Parts: sequence; C-alpha cells; structure tokens
Amino acid sequence: MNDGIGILTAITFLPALGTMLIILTPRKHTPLIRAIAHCISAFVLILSLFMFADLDRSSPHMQFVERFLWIPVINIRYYFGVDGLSAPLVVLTALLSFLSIVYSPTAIRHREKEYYALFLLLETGMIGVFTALDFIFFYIFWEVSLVPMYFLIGIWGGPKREYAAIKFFLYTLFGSVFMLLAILTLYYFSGPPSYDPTQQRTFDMLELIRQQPLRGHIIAQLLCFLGFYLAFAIKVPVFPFHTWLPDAHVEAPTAGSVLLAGILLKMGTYGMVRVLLPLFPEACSIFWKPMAVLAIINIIYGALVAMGQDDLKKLVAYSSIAHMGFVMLGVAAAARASFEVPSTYLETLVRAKIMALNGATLEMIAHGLITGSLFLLVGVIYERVHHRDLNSFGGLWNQMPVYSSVLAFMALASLGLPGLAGFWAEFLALMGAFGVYGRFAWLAVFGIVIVAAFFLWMLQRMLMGSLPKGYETLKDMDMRESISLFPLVFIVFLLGIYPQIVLDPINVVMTHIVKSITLYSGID
Amino acid sequence: MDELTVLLGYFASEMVLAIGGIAILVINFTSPNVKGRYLGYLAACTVGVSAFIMPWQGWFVFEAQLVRSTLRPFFSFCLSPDMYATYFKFAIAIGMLITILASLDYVEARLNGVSAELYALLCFATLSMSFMVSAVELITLFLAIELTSIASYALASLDTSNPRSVEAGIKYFLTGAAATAVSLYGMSLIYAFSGTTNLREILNMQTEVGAQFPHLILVSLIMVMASLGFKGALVPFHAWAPDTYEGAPTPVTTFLAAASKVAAVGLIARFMIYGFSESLELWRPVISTISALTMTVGNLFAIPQRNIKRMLAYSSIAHAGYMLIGLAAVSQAEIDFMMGKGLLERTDVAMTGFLLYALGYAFATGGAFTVVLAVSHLLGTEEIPEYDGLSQRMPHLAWALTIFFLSLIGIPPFVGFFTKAFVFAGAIYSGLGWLSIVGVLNSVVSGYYYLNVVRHMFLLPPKAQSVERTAPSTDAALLIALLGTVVVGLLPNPFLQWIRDALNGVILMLR
Repeated sequence: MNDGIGILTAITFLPALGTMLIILTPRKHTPLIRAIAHCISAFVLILSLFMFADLDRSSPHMQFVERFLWIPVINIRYYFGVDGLSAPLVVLTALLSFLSIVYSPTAIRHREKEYYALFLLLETGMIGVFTALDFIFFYIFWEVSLVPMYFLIGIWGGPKREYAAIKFFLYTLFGSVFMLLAILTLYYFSGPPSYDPTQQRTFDMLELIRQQPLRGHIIAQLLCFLGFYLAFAIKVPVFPFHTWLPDAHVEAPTAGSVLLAGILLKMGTYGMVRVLLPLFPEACSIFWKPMAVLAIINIIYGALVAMGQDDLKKLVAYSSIAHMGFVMLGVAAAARASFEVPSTYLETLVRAKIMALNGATLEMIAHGLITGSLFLLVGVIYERVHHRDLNSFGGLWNQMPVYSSVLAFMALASLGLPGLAGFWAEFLALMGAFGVYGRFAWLAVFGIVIVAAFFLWMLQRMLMGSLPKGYETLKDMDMRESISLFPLVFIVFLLGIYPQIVLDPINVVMTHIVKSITLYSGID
Repeated sequence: MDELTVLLGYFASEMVLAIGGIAILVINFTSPNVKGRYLGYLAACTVGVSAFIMPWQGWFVFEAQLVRSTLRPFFSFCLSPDMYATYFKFAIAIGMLITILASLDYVEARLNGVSAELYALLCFATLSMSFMVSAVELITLFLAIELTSIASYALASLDTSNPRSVEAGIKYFLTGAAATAVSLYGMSLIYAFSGTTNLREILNMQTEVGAQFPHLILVSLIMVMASLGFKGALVPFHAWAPDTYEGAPTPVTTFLAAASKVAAVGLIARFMIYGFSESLELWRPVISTISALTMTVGNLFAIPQRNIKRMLAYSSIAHAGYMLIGLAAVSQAEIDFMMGKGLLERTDVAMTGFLLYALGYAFATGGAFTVVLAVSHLLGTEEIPEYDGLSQRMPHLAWALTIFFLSLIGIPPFVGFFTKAFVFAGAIYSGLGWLSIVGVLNSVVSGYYYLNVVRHMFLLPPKAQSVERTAPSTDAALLIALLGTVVVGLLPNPFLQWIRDALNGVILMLR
C-alpha cells in the first residue's frame, strides 16, 4: 500500500495542470495553447498506457493505491486506485480525450483558449470519477465534469446550444444532489475503517462495501439505492430520464459529443457496477426486475427512435441509448438475488451473472470507442457540407472512399458484427441475460435487429446511390481527421479478434463483485 | 495579566474599528480636502487589520480562560468575546473588507460628497455587528441590533440624489421599526417569565417554565425572531430586502448581503443555543419551517429577476435559509459540546456546517457583488442582459463571477459545496431528511438563475466591444474573495479546526 503520491495522481491532475498553463498563456498565442493541450493529453495517454501495462491482471484488488487523510473532521481521504474495471475506462478516457483534442482544431476556430482549458478540466473530472475511491472525491469529480461540459455545449454548440446546455446541467445536477444525500446517509451508517480504527465513520467506497452498513436497514437502503440510481440513471441515461441526451448530443461540438457519448455516459454505468451492485444487494434484489424492464425499453425504444431519425447525429445519439440498454441489461442481470433460485441452479446463475457483467463492462469500452468514432465521423462530414440530413446524402462511397470505409466499418461494429469489439460485448451481455432471465431476454434480441436495420439503412442512404449536386468537390479525410480516427479503427478491430486484452482484468473483478454480492445477499 | 492587557486582548479589533471610524470622521472634519479615496483606504486598512487580528484575539481569549484561568468578567457578562464571536467577527470583517475595496471606484464616481460618512458608517456598522455576535444579554443584544440597524438605515439612504435610495432607506427603516417593537415585546415576555436578561440565567429557568408554560416560551421566541429574522431577511420578514437591496447604493447592498446577514445568523444561532437550548424541541420546528420557507421563496423569486442586485438579494435570502438548516439540525451532542460538556462525534456536523457556511457565503457573495460593482462602475449597468458577452470583454470578471456562482450553487471543489454538504448531512442525521431534500431541490433551482447570468456572460455575443480595465483595489477584493472561495474549499482543515474550537468556546465565557 502506497501512502504517497503516485501515477494516478499524475494521470488525474495533469490535465488540470494543463488548464492552469493555458489560463496563464496569453490569448493571442493560439499555436502554443494548442500545443499545450496536445502535449498534456498525449502525456496523460502515455502514462495511462503504462499504468494499464503495469496492472496486475489477475488481481481483483485495487492497485496503484494512494491514500491519505484529507479532512480529518469527517474522515475524507485523498484515496485513488484502479482495478480491472476502472483501468480500461481510464485508458479509454485518456485516449478519447487525446483524439478529440487532435481533431478539435478543424472544428473549433474561435475562443480557443477557453476551449482547450475547459477540455482539459473536463478530462480531469472524467478520469477522477474512475480513479477516486472516496465517495466525496467521487462526487467532486462527478460534478467537476459537469461544468466544463456545460460550457463546451453552450459556447461551441449548435443553434439550440443554450437550451441544451442548461438542460444537461440541471438534469445531471438534479440527479447528483440525491446521490450526495445518499452518500451522506451511508456515512452515517458506516463504521470505523479497518485500517484506521481511530476514525468513527468513513466515506471509503471499498470499506463501505465491505461493511455493508445498510444491511438490515431496508428503508434507508432503498432510499439510498434510489438516490444513487437516479444520479446514475440520468447519466446513462435510462429510459424516462433520457430526454437531455438527444439535445445535448446534437448541439454539442463534435469533440464534446465524443466525450459525452464515450465517457460521460460510462460514468453512470461505472457507478452502477462499482457502487450500486455491491453496496445495495438487498435493494438490487428488489429492483432487479424494474431495472431489467427499463433496460429492455432502452434497447427497443432507443433503436426504434433512431430508426425514425433523418438527422445523422440524432441517429447516433439514439443508438447510444439502445447500446447503453445492453449495459443496463447486464447490470440488471447481475442484480438478481441468488436466493430466488434453487441452490442446484446457483452455480449456473453465478456464472451467468459474471458473464452478463463482463458483457456490460466490455460494452462500456466498445461503445465508447465505436460511438466516439461515429460522432467524429459525423463531425467530419458536417464540417464539409454543414448539414446532417440523411436524405440529402448519397453516393459518398465514390467521392470519399476512406471516409466511407471507416464509416461503414464503425457502423458495422456498432450493430455488433462478429469479429469487431461490439459483438463480444453484446454477445456476453445477452448470454448472461438469458442465463438469468430466461425467455424475457429474447426481447432484447429484437433490439439488435432494429439496430442493425437502421445502421444499414443509414449506410445505404449516405454511401450508395448517386452523389447529389454540389458534392463533387468534397475532399476525403485530411491528416488530422485520419490521425484521430485510425487508432480507433485499429483498437475496435483488435478488441474484436482478441478481447482478452481488457476482458481478462474485467473478468477477474466482475467475478469478485458477483461473488461478493452472492455472499451478502444472504444465501444461508 | 493586568486589566489593561486583558481588555486590549479581548477587544483589540473592536478598538481598532472604533478608532478607525472616528479617525475618518475627524480627518474629514479637520481637513475636508482629503480625497474620499484615501478615507476609503483608511477604512479598508481598519477593517483589514481588525480581520487580521481576529483569529489571534480568539486564541487570546481561549487561552486566557483555558490555560491560565484568568478570565475576568467584562461589562457584567453582557459581551462574550469568545471564539464563536471572533469567528463570526472575522467573517463579517472579511465581508466588509471586500465591500470597501470593491466600492472605492464606485464611491469616488457616484457618492463622492458623502464618502467620509459612508466609510465611517461602514466601520461603525462592523463594530456594532461585532457586538451583535458577542452579545449574551438581552439589552446588549437589542442595543447591538439597533446600532447596526441605524447605521444601515443611514447607509441605505445615503445617495440623496437618487429617490430610490431614499425609498430604500425609508422602507428599511419602517419595517425595521415595526420588527424592533415586536421583538421588544418578546424580550419583555422573556423577562416576565425568567426575571433576568442574561441568556445563561434564562436558560437555567427554562426547564421549570417550559414545563408550565411551553407556549409562553414559544411566543416570546417567535417575537424575538421577528427582529432577528428582519436583520437576516428571513421569510416571512424579508419583504424589505429586494427593494432596499436594489435601491440602496451598491456598496451598501454589498454590505447588507455579505456582512449584515452573517452577523444576523450568527446572532440567531447564539441566541437560540445559548439562551434556549433547553427548549430545543420547541424551536426546532420553527427554525426548520423558516429555513424551508426562506430557501424556497428566495430561490423562486430570484428566477424572474432582470436586475442583478435584485437577483442577488433574493439569492442571499435563500442562502440564509440554507444556513438555518445547520441551526435547525443542531444535535444534542453539539449543544452539550457548546456547553463545554462532552465531545463531538464524527456525525455532529450541523453547527460546523452552519459556521463554515457563514464564512463561505461571505466570501462568495462579497465576491459576486465585487463583480457587480466593477461592472456597474465600468459599464454603468446592473441589468443582467447587459452582461452579454462579458467573458470576451473582461474575462477575469466573468470567470470570477462564475466561480462565485458555482460556489453558491454548491458545486465542488469550491467552499460552497462543503458548506452545503455539512448542513445537509447534519439535517439527515438529526432526522430532518425532508429539510435536506428541500435544500437540494432548492440548489438545483438556484442553478437555473445563477447559470442564466453565466449564459449571458459566456454564451451570448457582446453588445459592445470596448474592453475596460478594473482598478487594483477591485482586483484585490476579487483576489481575497477568490482565495477564500477556492482555498477554503480545497484545504478546509484549519478552518474546520477553528470552527471546532469556536463551538467549544461559546459557553466557556459563562460563570
């Protein structure tokens, strides 16, 4: 156990340092500002890759831990660590942030100083959510990621940007304040942490999971569960809370959409896996059915609405809702209580739950990569033609072959073509869900069909047919755009043929989580 | 220690304030040609020095009573210069320091004829607010409130060329007079059942009286609350606030919002806990109701405002409501701790949050008004739509205001987050979960109107391109407010420790 500063502090706070540097740079030195943003985010990416390479992939425990007391009065600790669940997400965040910054100069032409400063601040917020292990720090980063995104949407967004920005902000704030109340309640019920018996209470996530402070306090547990669930569900977004997402995604600038879809939505699902499942097993066993129903609604509803879109960006946004439904499906499967099934079936159930959670977590990564690149691709075409109307496209395959190939590749990856990253994620989530729900999970399969349908239809409308007038001069992707997209193509392919790179560490942690839930939810 | 040392030690900052205020008047009287600006510097120095020595003054008293046991009665125990008082005096003086530094330009441009009166009155108001938070006896308490009020009435109507300023003063005075009358009646009731005006003795009588006439205590408390609530602009005694805030000269508004409010809540908490903690269960519902009403009314009425002073007036009403959550949620362990018995558990955070809130609020509101003053001086407007594109004309003002607003919403890592987290936590742990839910919902509502100003500053294009420079004194005020908002948020430990000592020290001044 390292009680000092380490690599996670560097990864988390370097972007914030970059923000400071940019603030101190005079406004007129735009190239220098860009250079700072590129260098800092590249450096963070390299550090996070080193961290991932160093990760002990067979250990379910927290690694690279840094922990010391920050506010003794209520025992808030500066506590960071990663495991097989959060490490891939940290790498994903660093990667998408870097690629978005690489892409940004093509789209962002005004107020660049503020843009890059806020962008790096956002990166700190997002990485911090995945690395913080103290609830107060988790909450701080959760909120810190909110403010820059408000400005990114509001200043550099589309025509309805003001409305979208405030809607995003208030929605997320509304959810997170209830999470704060739940966190404060958990603290009240907690006991002294094992490593420091002189403290009476703790905000330590892992310690709280170990203590199960709300065990037996069923009302408090339900309320806290709902507080957390609301915050996470709004972020994911789960069906009735999703209305901010189309506005925010459509109005945000390209890089903002990439991070919104790629990372910010994952904060919600990460919270479900990290906090909800292990901390509230009894409440989960009560709510797993509604959660599963909402997940199915997410898949079918998201896919159907996406099918009806003529706006390319809206289509991708709604496809996100459908994909996040698969993550929620996996989470809901893992939430089912073990005592509902006969003990002979228990072993199978546990295996199915692990599989579902593996799929859910892998889907977070895959969706981040795939939808991130889809939003980049939307940005690429929008910068050229300044509209996103699917009906006005056509015949792009001949005019922009590289672009079209990448778009087709990512669309196929998104609809779950075997051999690409999305397939394994959805396959595992569905397999696990079948094991837990049985026939009910068939409904989700319809979602897959619809997703496939609208993506293929989109490809048909954009790439096939004849080129509309005035599009003969369109240029294919330039250097910057290629640099920001090709790494993603490569990784989606790599994860498709060899998913073990991330699946191994994920599997270890998910097994640990499912076993601990089974333990706590009281099989006697 | 001889009497003089002790007296100096106990009341050093008050003496500085009195001397500074008198000096300003004397200088203005003997040499009228001295520029108002220099009188402003003198006032800023006075308040700054008094703020600076406040923590040491607190330690001096603390040490005198704990370590050396040489505590002596002063003014027959009417004033208690304990650490609780010095903590609040510090918050008040900080708010005042920001006010004066931020006002220098504005006063020079618009109130030059009365600058000596303004600065002297501000010093005297700080002094009387120091008495407010240290008063432990009803008559003293009443005198302190009146002294502050009279200074405030005069300040509000100082701009005689502007009829709205006069209107503000008159409104403030009339409501104030009515509130005073009611509260005097309440105090006479308290005297009637206890036979004393000393809060500690009142506390001792309470169990007896409370058993016989619980309603008598409740009625008298509510009546006194009328006056205290008037000073703190708590709903339903808040009606004067928006008009007065809008009509009064902006420096005076800053003073009313950032300093006067802090003094009022400091006084309310001391009055309730010091004098009436035996009747805790009697007044807890009253305070929690007032708190919920104050938050909700303040926030809802802030939404449609177009004048930023008026918006901040309603927002400051709302913040008094949040602070009162801390008082409503005070736990028995905390009361015991404040009475010098027992220790605090890790969950006894309500009063800690209350005190931290007062300081964090003074920084953030003072800072917000600094920006308002600067914009009002440079652009000559206080209408929110005129803030369009401020981020491109004066980015440091726009960013500073954004940070103050985020802190007021309760977004981490600024101090406002911790203060709100503490009071909400306190509410949950005292079984006032509903109040914490009202609180967080209000925070979300407040996000809307604060971000509306941010929207104007950042999202909308500027109406004019001119770039103005702010004066160094404004920058200094901004720097103090920013440091407070950010540093107390990131490293709150010394302040939390100070608050713990302050809570522990409240009652030690008693016989």
